Amino acid sequence: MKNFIQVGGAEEEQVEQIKKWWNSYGKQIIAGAVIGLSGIWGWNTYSDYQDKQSLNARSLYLSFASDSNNLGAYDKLTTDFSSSSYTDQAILLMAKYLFDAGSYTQALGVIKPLINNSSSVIATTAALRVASIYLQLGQHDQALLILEGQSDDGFSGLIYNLMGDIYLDLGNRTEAQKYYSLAINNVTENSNLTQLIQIKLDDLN
Amino acid sequence: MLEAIRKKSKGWVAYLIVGLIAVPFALFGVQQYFSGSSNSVIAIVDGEDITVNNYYQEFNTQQRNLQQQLGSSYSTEIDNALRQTLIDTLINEKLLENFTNSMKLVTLDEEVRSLIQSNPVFQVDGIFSEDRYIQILRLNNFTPLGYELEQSKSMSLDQIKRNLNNSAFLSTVQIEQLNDLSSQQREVSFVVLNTEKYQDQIVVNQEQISEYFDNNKSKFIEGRKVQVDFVELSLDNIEQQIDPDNETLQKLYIENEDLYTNPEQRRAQHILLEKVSNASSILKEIKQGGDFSELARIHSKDITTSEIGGDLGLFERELMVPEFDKAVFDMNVGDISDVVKSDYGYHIIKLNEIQPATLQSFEEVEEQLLALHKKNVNQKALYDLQEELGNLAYEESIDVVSNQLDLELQTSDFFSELSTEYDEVFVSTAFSDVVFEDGENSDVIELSKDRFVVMSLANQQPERQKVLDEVEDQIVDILRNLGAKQLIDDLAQTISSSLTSGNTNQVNSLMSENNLEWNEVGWITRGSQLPFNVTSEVYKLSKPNSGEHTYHSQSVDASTTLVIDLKAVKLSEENKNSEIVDLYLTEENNELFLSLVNKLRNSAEIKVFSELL
Repeated sequence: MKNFIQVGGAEEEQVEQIKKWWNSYGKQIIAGAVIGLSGIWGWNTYSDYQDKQSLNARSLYLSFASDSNNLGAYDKLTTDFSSSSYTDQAILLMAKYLFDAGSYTQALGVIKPLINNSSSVIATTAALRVASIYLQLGQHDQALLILEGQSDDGFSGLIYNLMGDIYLDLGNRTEAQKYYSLAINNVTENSNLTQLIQIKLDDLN
Repeated sequence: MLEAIRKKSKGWVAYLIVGLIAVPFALFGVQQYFSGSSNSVIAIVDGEDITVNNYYQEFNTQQRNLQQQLGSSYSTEIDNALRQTLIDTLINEKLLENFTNSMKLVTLDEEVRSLIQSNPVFQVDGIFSEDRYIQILRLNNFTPLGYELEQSKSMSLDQIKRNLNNSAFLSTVQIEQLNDLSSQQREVSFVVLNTEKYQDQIVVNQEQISEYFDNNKSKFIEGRKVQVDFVELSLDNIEQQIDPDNETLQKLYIENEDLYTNPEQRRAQHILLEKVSNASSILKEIKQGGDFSELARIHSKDITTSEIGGDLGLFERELMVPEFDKAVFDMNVGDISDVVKSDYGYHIIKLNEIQPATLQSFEEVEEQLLALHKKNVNQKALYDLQEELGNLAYEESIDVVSNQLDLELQTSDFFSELSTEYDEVFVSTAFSDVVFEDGENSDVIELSKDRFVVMSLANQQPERQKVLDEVEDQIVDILRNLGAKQLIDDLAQTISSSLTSGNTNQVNSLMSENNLEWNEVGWITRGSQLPFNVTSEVYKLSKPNSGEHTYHSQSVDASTTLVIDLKAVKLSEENKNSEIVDLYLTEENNELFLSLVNKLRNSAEIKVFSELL
């Protein structure tokens, strides 16, 4: 501290010192404060903008979720908000709408790219649904291929369960039993699905 | 190092840095210094804190609720489980919050609004009421803004689940598989074998008894017991001549006017109808001069009063359903109400008489006042004495307490921690650390409103291994049951395998020798309620080929074994339900969500300071 206020000097001397100090460093301090403040302002503005974008995307998602004919909302999401997770979730919706309308191949086309999504929950959901569509189309091998390709073991209970269903439809009881057992061992603790899968397994006794 | 900074900090660059650093401190630093010491942390999730405050706020509420529900069965184990569950929940919430932020999932104001408005708690007659909303929030220490923020936050946390549920579907193959399972019926009959009939046939020898005792000694331990000395204080100990003067009673009368006031009563007639249109037309008829009593006799659906013209007699406030009550107590004598809707239907009401509230005279209630006065005086004396008892018991031994207060020194029998011979609080006090370990007098314990006890340990008897002689009869019973169970298990097995191999003669003779008979149940579904969980056992059996049966023997508990005959399996058309698809999708989606939470948990860095729980 000694370098800008000399202790014990007379009052005028001190004022003089402060003035001198301010003359040499004042500009830098003001500049620093201005840069600091504008940094904060910039950050706030940026996150406000981000929040606003998320709210807009949510609003569009809800419009499409409540009305499958609202293709305007869907198109706006996929073009203007292509990096939003709401867009991925709207694509899942679109696949369901197409599936319900019987347009299975189109549904596949829409949903398949999501299998590589960076969010594991979106990717797994997509894989399960792609496999279901292949099953609907009678393409059991394709369905199994997709599920076998799932490397994320956090969701393996659901994957094995669906594989059991596919093998059962193929009439392969041994494989169905194997995958239902695996499913029971891999679903989350106290899962309500356990009971349901156990019923399927018992039925193969 | 510091020296180096000091030297460098003389240049203009340094002051630029000081300026930069100062800004965030000036703007953000302050509130952290004011929020005080409450910031200690109970868990850290990926570098973010869960504070002790945060935890206890939630814990105290839940603990209170559980204690209210469970009463005295709220135990230490439950308390520990609650603590563990709660910290898990808070950690999961934090993980989901981070996940939600990274996915940029948000909740719109109108989503929160519509959730709140559709909550029946905030509705009056099925319509959202702003007043009620504010009132309920205030009761629970919430401001609307705070509550809405919290709702918005929690809606964001499970939004991914709802979104994924929106887009879920099931292939036709899976729907058919589910329907085949849920509509599958099985035709079944079963035989029940019980140990009771066979226990007498089992011969138990001394050697078996000793062997069982030696192998199961820990089952035959008598818990510790105590005997306590105690003094009891109750209203009976207070003998006082009480003879109050008139002035005292007058004062008491004025203080307790409420007690001696008969509330306002009203006499009304009503006509109850199921449809609002009928009610309106009858109301019109009355207004045009129709006879109320006559119309009640003909049309009222309230059969208890229609015969007497709908007369309900005299009643006070809050005896009738709220809507009815409000209408009646807002009317004047002779008025006819509009149509009033209640849970029962639509009422038309006529008010015939108002008996205003009346205060009984002093003379009428003098006896009651005297009794009340005596009770008050005695109660006061009892509480004074109880305080004296407490102070004395803190300093003196129990016999001194007994002497000085002239209370009889009593001694209990020996009793265990599970004893029901004495009050629960009496028993738990006797085994408390103060009395049992430290040998001191207990605090004054309240057995009931007017009964107080202080106790002190007299004798104790430690936990004790019982000797063979004491438990021989008990062991004989156990061994007989075990032997009989083995016998019926074998019998059921033999019947089942004879049935499978088609040895009908042997089955018939075994059945009749043992007085067994088939319970013919017929066709069952998965939801059928049968004794001994027969339904779930039946659905585990392998399906028989057409024309064949599946036979199976099944132990169900320590004294029962079944023989099950599964005759046929079929799919029922009428039992198809579409709910199962929705149910399945919901469960599948829940599983997806739970897997997500597990996954977040496994990949996060979590530290819990368990000593703070």
